[in-house]
Amino acid sequence: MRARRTRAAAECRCPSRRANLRAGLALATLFVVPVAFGQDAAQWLQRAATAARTLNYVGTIAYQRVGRIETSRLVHFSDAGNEFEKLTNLDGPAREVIRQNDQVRCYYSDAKLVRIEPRALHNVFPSLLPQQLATLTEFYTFRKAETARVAGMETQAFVFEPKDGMRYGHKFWADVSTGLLLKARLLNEKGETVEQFAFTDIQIGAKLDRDMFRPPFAAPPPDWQVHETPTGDVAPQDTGWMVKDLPPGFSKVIEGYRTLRGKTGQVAHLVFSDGLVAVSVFVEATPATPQAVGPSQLGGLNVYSRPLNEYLVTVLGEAPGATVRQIAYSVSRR
Amino acid sequence: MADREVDQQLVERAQRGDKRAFELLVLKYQRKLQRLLSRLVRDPGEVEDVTQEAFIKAYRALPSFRGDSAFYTWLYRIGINTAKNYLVAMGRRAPTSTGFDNEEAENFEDAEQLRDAATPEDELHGKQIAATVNKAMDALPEDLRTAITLREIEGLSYDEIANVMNCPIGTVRSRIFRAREAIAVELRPLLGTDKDRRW
Amino acid sequence: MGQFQVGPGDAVAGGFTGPKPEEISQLMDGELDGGRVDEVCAGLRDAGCVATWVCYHVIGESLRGSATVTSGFSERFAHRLAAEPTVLAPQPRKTTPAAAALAIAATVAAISVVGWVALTTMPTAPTALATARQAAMVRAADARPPIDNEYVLVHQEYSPTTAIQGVRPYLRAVAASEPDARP
Repeated sequence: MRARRTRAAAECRCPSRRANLRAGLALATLFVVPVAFGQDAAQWLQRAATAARTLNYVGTIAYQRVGRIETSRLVHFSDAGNEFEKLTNLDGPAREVIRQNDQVRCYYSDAKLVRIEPRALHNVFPSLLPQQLATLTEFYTFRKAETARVAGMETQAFVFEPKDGMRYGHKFWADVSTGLLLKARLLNEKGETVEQFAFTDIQIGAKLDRDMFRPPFAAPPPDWQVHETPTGDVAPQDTGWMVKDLPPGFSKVIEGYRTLRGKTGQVAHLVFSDGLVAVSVFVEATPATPQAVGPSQLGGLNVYSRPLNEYLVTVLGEAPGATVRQIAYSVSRR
Repeated sequence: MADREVDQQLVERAQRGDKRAFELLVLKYQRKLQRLLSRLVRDPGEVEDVTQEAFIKAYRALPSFRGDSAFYTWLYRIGINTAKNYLVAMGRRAPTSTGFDNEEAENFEDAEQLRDAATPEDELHGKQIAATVNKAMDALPEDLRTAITLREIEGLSYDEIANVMNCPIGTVRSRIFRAREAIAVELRPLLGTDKDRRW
Repeated sequence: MGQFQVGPGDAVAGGFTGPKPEEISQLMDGELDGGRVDEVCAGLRDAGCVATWVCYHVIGESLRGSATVTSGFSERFAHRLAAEPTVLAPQPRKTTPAAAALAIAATVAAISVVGWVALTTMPTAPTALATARQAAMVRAADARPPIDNEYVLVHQEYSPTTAIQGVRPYLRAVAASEPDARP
């Protein structure tokens, strides 16, 4: 199938507009400094982010990690400032995620569960804090790699190669004409792929309409549960927790309390970032039922949990196990 | 042969990670394989398990299927081995009969030779299905009936049928589909709804 | 070709619409236009379409004098197949270095696979898949803690690459972790 090229259209008029303006200013300030490849890296990422938000596209994604592969169908529609997205599992239990602007609904047919949550995006491209963009170039080498065909489209690969072993390598393949990411890969220190998302087929500029994003049912059937996560941005707060021994390049992005389903009491949440990835630190009161602790992994996401007096610390992020573990063990009260 | 092509396409999709493609193959062959294995595993209560086990083994062995033989031939051998191993594990012996180690036996459709082990309900249900299909066939206009007979019983391709019936291939396509739908209308109630599948 | 129709599985409107019965008829005869095969196969998710696939095959079997009944087979088999790790066969095309790297990663990270299987189990998840995973968890030498789905989803709000990848990070939460089961 030949792809029709569409140019990234109107700006998405959603709540992150203010953030976009802030970021635009921040980036403009940065461009005054002649950091040539930082500009390049930021441009590629910004183009990818814009394309993901503003284009209409539909395709099949293969998500691979450690010898497993799962396929899903993705539809994305941008219309008059509104954004719609639908992700459907093609194998395994029947599950679907439907997003309209900032609201996300996950339909788990196997557990008969609908989960509704706000998807407020903070700290994402293009709205990075200026210091994050600086660390991005300090701790990663950005370079363009090969051109390749992905899902039948011409793409340009570009790489963020970590300068130390505390972070993963990232390789992205962007559609040459729109900048949309068609493949993304996380690489460990040995250059092995830890996780990969890739479109196996895609139509950019497909004819879509809102009807395609209707939920599978108008009202959930009586035997289904609905879990609704409280909305609203989390106000930044001083939680009294800190990470003494942060790996180089990581700095705190935000800190505050969250109410989470299944947790009694509020959970402290701190986010650290090196400009390309984030690591979350959660501190909760020790749960009533004993929890297994230690390392876990979910594709490119590494997790480490440990008890700390009457608390349970859980750290997770798209970073190697050692990084996540180091952060977990250096969480302490201020 | 057209049948082998569609199987090959589904197998290739399954080998690329599409589990549902494999399920479509299972839906196509589950009755045939179970019928075959019921001649070895005589207990109707056990034969389904053995048949499912065979399909799972086939799924796991998919990477080694290269398309040198037809999919069903390959599946058939896995099925026979699964059933034989099961019988050995149960301390039983396979009924002595010719034809099981012979590939041609896979097309052994004549149920009179060796009766399938089936529950009385399933037997009755099977008879009802046969009766319904026959009745619907009799009610078909002749061109539709001929088209579907040439396809399903003679195994001719659309091209060959177009030749025999002296009509365009598009007409063949349409006649076969209309014949199937006309019969399906009568048959669907017997096969149950999605909530209550009888397949 | 060159036509931008969305795939048959993409319209929702109260249920999936699958491929047309005419195409199912052609597909089963191996006479479907090559360019349509992938889409029709992918679109054969709709319950009605699968029933049609089965029904058309039963018609053929019946005409050939072999109407066997396998009541409930497909439902039970679907559960068993869901519990199987997805098979990936190396393609006859050349193996790219990337694919080789993935394969190596798989071998090296074999322990992680067991850990991963263990960690995605929620204690009372109802599906057969979860049961299979629980069984694996019991067998696993090092039982790893389950990952809290809530944490994953909240974390993703702050992950810089989420905006680039859109809903794709949800694949982690949707594909792997079992959500809370009913009490």
